[in-house]
Amino acid sequence: MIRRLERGAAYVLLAVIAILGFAPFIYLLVLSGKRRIQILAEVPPSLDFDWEVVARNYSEVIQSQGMLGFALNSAIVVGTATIISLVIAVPAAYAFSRLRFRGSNTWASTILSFRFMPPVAVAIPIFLMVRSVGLGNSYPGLILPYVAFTLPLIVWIMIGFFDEIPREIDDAALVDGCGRVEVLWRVLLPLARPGMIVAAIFGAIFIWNEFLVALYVVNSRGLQTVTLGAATLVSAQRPIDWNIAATVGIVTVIPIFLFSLFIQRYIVRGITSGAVR
Amino acid sequence: MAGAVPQTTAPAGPTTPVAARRLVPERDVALLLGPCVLYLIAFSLFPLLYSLYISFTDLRAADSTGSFIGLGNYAELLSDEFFWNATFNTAVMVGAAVSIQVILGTALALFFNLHLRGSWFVRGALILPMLLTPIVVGVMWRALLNPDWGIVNWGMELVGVDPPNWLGSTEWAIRTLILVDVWQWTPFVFLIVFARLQVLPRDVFEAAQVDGAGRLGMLSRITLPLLMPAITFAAIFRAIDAFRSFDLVYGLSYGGPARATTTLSFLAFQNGFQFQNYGYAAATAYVMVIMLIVATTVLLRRIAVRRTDAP
Amino acid sequence: MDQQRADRDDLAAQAISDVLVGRMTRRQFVQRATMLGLSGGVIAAVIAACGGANSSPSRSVAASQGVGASSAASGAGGAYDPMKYAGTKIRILMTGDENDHRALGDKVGQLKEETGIDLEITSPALGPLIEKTLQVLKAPEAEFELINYLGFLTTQQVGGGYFEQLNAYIEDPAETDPNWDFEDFADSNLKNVGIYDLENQKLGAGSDVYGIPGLHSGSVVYFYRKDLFDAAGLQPAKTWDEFRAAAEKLHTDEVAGCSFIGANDFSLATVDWYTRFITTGGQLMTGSPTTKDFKPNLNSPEAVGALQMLIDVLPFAPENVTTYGFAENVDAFSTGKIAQMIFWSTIAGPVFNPETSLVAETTDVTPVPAGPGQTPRAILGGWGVGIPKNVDPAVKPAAWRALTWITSKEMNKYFVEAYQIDASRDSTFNDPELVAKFPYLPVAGEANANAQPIETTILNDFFAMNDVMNVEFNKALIGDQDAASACANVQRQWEAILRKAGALA
Repeated sequence: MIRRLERGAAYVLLAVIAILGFAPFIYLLVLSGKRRIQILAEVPPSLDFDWEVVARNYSEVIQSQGMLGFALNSAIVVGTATIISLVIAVPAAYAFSRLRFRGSNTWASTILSFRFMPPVAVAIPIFLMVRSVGLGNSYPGLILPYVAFTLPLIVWIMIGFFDEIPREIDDAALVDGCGRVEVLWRVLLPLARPGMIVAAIFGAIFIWNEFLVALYVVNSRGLQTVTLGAATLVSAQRPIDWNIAATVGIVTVIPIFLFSLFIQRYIVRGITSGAVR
Repeated sequence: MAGAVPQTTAPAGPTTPVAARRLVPERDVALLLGPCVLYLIAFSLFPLLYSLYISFTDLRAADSTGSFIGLGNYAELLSDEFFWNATFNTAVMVGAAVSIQVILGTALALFFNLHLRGSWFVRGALILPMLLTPIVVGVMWRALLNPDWGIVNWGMELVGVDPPNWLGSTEWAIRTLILVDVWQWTPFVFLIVFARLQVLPRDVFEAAQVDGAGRLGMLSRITLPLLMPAITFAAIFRAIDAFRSFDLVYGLSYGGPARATTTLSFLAFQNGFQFQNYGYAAATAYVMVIMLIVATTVLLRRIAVRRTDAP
Repeated sequence: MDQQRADRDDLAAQAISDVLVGRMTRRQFVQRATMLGLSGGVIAAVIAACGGANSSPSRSVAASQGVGASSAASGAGGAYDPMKYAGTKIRILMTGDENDHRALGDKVGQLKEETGIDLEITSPALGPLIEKTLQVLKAPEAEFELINYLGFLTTQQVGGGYFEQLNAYIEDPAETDPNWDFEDFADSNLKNVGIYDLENQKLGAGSDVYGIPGLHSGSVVYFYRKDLFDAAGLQPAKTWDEFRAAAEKLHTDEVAGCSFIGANDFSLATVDWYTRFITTGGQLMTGSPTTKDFKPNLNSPEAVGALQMLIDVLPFAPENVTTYGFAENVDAFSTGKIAQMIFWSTIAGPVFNPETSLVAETTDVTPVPAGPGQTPRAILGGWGVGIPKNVDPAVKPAAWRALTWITSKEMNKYFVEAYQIDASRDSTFNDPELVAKFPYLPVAGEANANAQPIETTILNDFFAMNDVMNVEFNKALIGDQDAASACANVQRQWEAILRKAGALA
């Protein structure tokens, strides 16, 4: 009997958590279907929608404001930077996991500590550097610093994954006469693929949300990323179009939500790998 | 398998796999590690040193050649009331937000460990906040907490609670910032602790049950100690990220009212990016870097050690 | 009292008939009418009634004389050929924080069609824009042929001698579209962003032109709810005492008697405090940075008094007014929760649009209140466009061609029509077709004409100084300190900043 009551209480609690977790998004979803004036005047907002208004909000965000283009820019920048990061980070992580060399631990923790660098400390120098080599307002101008931002994280995650692969496997390959690089390429990479997916996801999330460097490097609407597009909607000295802001919120949240359901297990792996086992 | 490898040069310990101990040609290390190290030198270390140099000058956007003023900016910083205000705000924010996140996150992990039906879906929703752009999070909460039409105040008034002045009073603004940070990042602590819970050895609990330990006793004497490494890790990680984050303040409160939510990061942003006072901003940011270096050398050692200890 | 009102109505009627029969220009009429307290709606109706019959005759005469004189001078220069610079690429650096870049983006195709010039728009956010502008102006080779700079930074950028003088172009009929009409730009805007005496480092002095007002400007007007004022038998406030009295009388649980920017926001100091300060006789600064005696007057009775006025109307303001920044005030006003407030005229677009406002039909605008004997006026915002000196001389005429095209009457009109961006030309503020649609325009134009740049803009520390003011004033409104100590704190911090900058010994 008591266990049953407890069970019931637990489900109530789960429901409460679910409501708290989803409510802000549902509120946003409701607001994204209203006219600006309705948001301000109807408290709480009613749940009948004028579909024409919904369509207008979304087409304003996706077409007129160019969110689709921003998403494309983000995808290009995030995709390229993540791939480059992986190419550079994977061999490094392999070295840290497998090779004993002098100062190995110091090197590793130095690289990892860059993960904690405050963005405000490097944004201006990075911007000045990017511009001085003529890459201001270009994809490479964003990709180059972003690779540096994600490298430490990816190295860190990949070390964890390499550590999990039994050493006997590469030993055997070495015996067969393969070189180190060959072992990494032919034997370990296929085994480490789940790890690379996790690392890529984390790197990608990090870059997708980056704001400060993008704010300075990007100068034109044509190159704006999703984060920048969202930020310009709410600049201080202007009335905020709350319906549009909410729609932008939803448009950016939905893909991430689907993504997060799909990648849940990778996220858990990524957060915990290499650190807590 | 390992024993079959002919080993002549390196002294071998009895249990470690041979390849791991073999002295590696430096060429291999350089080949594997080189690109990463060079890249970080070019795009992380160099900017960081550049920033250090800027912090010794009075560089402003208006005159692109700042002159060298030594420790001038740092001296000024120490006598700047806004700097101390921001340091205080940062300490309050990091301290409060991380403590709450640790407690809530651990509680959530224990709760989800009951594996109720349907809980995987709720877990998915819980992960969402930390994947969101902080700017969007800020705007979303500004809507939720809007004093005139936000749903939160409406709900509170409905049940007869007088809503506080969320973002308008100096007293409440920092609490609101903490609240939103907690909303966004508790899931992070939760996930780590939850993952650790999944791999705890079952036999320990079974043995304790046989010994007749009550549920509370098990929690305090067995579960929590076993979870401690994960909790520590999550807390350290969160503390550092909360310390350096700036976009949430940007999106939620822009440092106000009356600088009540101006953190060190935001102060550096404002001085550098809004007032174009690069030298001073760099000095502010560098004080943060120094604090972080101290913190990471002390704290990361705890985590790094764990890596080699891992099973 | 009633007699006075009757007299005033007579004068107004006289003014209306004068302008209708053409004895008065529209501009003179607006000036007269606002002095008489006619509302924006009435003024707009009259101007619309005048139709296109008389568009500032005195000014167009001046303009045509100017053109005549210089066409003789240029001699063989030939006639104006719109396609003269076809095929040239012009790059413009402008703000991405407002709608200007979107409006201009709409028109790039048309520019290409009419002049053959390709315009490439680069539009960063404000912070990066300022940084980038300073960098490219100093570079040996130009990265942009046109730069749109913030009026607050004219001294820093134009005063630094980085922009090409434009007088020769303006006077050359072969280079300037005869319909462009330089005289049509409001004097206040020209003095704020265009005219500069480099030799004496004085903004707005002399006749040397370095920038053209655009792509928008703006100042502050007084928004009030006509229905509420009428019901209470009140006239829109002409003085700050009347403003307070109306606030008290109109304040109810549903509608706040008045509002202002009470949050820690750029406009708390620049709009609400500064307007009250200068219209009660305050003078922000004395002396000059060059003589190292540039001293703030924040301790003056006017400074403390202006802040005290805000504190005094707190009981009649929205409950959360200390969190009200730009957005919150617009939101509350457009949902009918505010009876009156002074605000940037740029919000008139959304406030008068039934799609975004519940009070579109019941709101009206007039000039801001002022102390006895003071002209209603407020801060002047807005932007200028110029040609950097480092642009290749061969390309400069093409840059000028693009500049005149994007600052033309048609473009200025399009900006207002499509995005309700504040105009920078008199003709736009008084365009009958636009006024019929946006009745607030003449009042906004008048406010724009009377507005004054804030004195601290000549310093690089303008934004930092303004921030200090907003923080201290916000604290006073929250109740953490009184008006006098807030002003004293600003005075102290400003003096420190000015000393550090070498503007005060």
